[in-house]
Amino acid sequence: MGDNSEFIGEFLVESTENLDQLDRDLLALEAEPGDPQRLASIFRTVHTIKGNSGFFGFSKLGALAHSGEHLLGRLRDGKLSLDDRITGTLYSMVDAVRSILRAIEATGTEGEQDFRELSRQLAAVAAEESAPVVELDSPTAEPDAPRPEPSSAEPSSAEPHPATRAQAEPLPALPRAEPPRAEPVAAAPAAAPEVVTAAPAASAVAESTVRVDVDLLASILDLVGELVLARNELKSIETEDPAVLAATQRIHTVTNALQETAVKTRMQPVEHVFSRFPRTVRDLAKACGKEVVFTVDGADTELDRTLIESIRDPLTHLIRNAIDHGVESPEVRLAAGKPRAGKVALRAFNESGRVTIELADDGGGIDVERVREKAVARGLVPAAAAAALADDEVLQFIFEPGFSTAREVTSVSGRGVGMDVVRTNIEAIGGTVEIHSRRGAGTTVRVHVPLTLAIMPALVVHVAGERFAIPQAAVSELVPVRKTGGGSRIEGLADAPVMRVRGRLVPVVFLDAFLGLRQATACREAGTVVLVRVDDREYGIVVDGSTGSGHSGRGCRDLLESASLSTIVVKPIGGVLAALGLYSGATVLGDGGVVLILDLRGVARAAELPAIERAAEPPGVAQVAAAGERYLVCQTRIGRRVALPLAEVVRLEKYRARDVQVAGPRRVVRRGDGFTPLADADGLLGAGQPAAGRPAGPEAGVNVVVVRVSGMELGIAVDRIIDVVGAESPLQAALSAAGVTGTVALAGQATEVLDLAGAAAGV
Amino acid sequence: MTSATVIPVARRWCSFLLGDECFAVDSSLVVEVLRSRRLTRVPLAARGVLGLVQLRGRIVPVIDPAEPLAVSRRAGANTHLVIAPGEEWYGLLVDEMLDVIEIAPEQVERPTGGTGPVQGTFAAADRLVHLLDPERMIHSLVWQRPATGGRPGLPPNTAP
Repeated sequence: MGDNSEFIGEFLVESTENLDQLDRDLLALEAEPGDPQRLASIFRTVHTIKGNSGFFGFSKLGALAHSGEHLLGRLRDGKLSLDDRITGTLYSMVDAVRSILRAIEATGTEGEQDFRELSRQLAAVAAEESAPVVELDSPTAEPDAPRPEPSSAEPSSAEPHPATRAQAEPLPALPRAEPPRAEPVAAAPAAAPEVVTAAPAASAVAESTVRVDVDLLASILDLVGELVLARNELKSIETEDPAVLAATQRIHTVTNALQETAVKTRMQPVEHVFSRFPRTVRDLAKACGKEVVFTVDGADTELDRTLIESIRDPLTHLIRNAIDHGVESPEVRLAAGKPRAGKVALRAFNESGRVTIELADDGGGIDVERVREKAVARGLVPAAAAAALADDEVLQFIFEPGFSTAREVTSVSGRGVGMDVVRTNIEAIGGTVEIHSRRGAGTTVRVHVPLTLAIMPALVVHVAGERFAIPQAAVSELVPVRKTGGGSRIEGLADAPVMRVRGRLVPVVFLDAFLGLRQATACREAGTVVLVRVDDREYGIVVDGSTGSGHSGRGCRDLLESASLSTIVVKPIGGVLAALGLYSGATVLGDGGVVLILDLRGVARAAELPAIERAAEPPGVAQVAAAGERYLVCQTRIGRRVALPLAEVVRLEKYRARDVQVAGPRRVVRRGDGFTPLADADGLLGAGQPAAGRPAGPEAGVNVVVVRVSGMELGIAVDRIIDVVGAESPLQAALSAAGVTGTVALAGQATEVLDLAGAAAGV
Repeated sequence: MTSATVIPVARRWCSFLLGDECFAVDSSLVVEVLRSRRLTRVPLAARGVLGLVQLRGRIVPVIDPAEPLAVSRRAGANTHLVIAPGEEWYGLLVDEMLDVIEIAPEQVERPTGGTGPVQGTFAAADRLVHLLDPERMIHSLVWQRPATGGRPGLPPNTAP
């Protein structure tokens, strides 16, 4: 057939899209069997496939499509009404057509499979309510008008317009049974992302779109990236010439617009991935004997094309989990007072510079206790520490490889290889996964994905004469170290500095000291704190107050000087340096200088920021005039709340249980060259033996507050640090309470103050 | 593509001076020679990583080969030989670029203990040229512990 390969390629692409639409339509039809528009759309699609196959001489395909068309015709004419069997047969037809298309794509022929049985079935089902059985083997039983060329689309069908060939050669080989690589650049977002809920007219109005080869788009984006860099260079050239300035300004504006537009070409609605899921859910639910109502929300949310494919498999796995393990069987649900059908909701939305995809089910939830047991059984955490973990922290173990608490491994899922792969795949594209669950109520998994990787707004900061970039999406605010009334916002916990921000306590990293660039003296008084949020943790990075010099910050102007916002092109830095875990890439600024981009997660990890629990008090309380002494409030191992005078606290440390040694009757921990004696807060209070011989695993973490009292250093072991609070009342001396000097009101709660001098004396 | 594990098979070698010693790399690996380029420091990187330069839109780490090759370089070197031993580009800080030399395989003498970065030597007219496998050298160098001036507890460079 001469050089038909080009047309066949196009036929395959369009037909695959048609089949996806068919799937969607059939699903919608199942929900609303009488919908005439839906039926008409399905009929048209099958008719198109039949016509196309006639043109190319694909006789098997034609015969199959013909039988399907006949069945659909009877449905459309009201001679048949839709039931489960008919739907099932139609789905089989769709799958059969898919497999023929795959064969055509792979070999150019229709392949060896025989579909006559299926055709007979289609005919038999069609013949149910009436007498004559239509002959199968004449594809021309109905007057067909094989179109002169396949590229003129059926006017009423839902396909986009034929391709504008970007190049003369045929389309590159399509990946198997996957959506086409060449994507339509939509002039407007595609309609009809919803599936089950009230569906508007299903057939999308034929939009003005063209097909463009992805490689071409990639090179356009590369070039735009280079243009952005050149534009930055131009911006940094000093000149007074008005003509030059005017032209530079225009270039600046146009480049911005061009960049935004170019990035958009890489964006694709997640609909692209979501569209297959309803069918998946249907099949899975049937296989597991569950009833599921599946809703999709926000499928028009856009994501960088290169990332979209990467979320398909993880999401598929999450859906499997939700249906197989999450949603209970109808009987169990009814017994629990839930509706028969479980709800699985897929939702995508934009949120602060990234896309969040959420899968929520109202099933039985995850049994946190079993996860806890399993984690201990597998040696991931010692029993004692496991008991202390919060529910959400326990759920994190689900992401460990090979972890599965499924009672039996079903063929669908539960092999235990899933969740760690999900997390790995998502993290590989720079995203994160979080999981929340409530027993009896259901489970929600949230996947956060960066919008795009290549070009992003960043804050360029200065420290010790060097520059670094921080992704703007992670920055929540900039705060000068110096308070307006004088004095530092950073509180004196010498080695683990913290800062109070709107009633919260936030750990802080001095970037100059952390990177070994200089001793952190200059920043302490005059720096700027960049508050960043990553993975639900917040911390501050202290950088220079203004361009390199260390004079005291005087407000906005200095803040703006200290950090400047730029749009940067992210460049990889090579595996060796990436392995440090501190830098996520580098960029070239307008003046040609290379600037490293900080990996905020890695920096937090490497800086070993103390885990400080968010203060539980309502924001108003923190504002209460706390002119008195300041205290560090902690929770002991048995859950008691105690306070330590902040003036005596030297630093916060976290040790491994294996660092703690027993020297005679005392416990000590090794620090540098010496040993620091250790006392347990509970032990000091005389309340509950801290089970000195508690077999906590060697890796279990021990939070220690190191205090300086009576001329020596002493470590007080606590369970967790809660907050730094000012006293609202003077200390009420305690009467004969062991280990306690008195009680003080902190954040509205009477809290005992640990007797540190007594503790020191007892050591 | 690059010099084989045992016998260097390249014919054309790009030679350069490091201190008083002469080294050479397979000339097909050479991307460009840069002079007097500003380096951006990479805090907490391995000692041999001198910094980053940018070349044609790519970010290139610059390595100091003096230590792994056990030579003492001269002061004031600022010539960077940019090579691409694999997917990634690296810059080597050298003292002076020399000529491209043709070497037939049989003229190469193999060193004892062939797992180091120097794969062989070639006796040129007036000096000994050490033939370098840059990939080996880079690997051996950058998987050291970082020259930390920062806090302890930094994630160790995990060896490959």
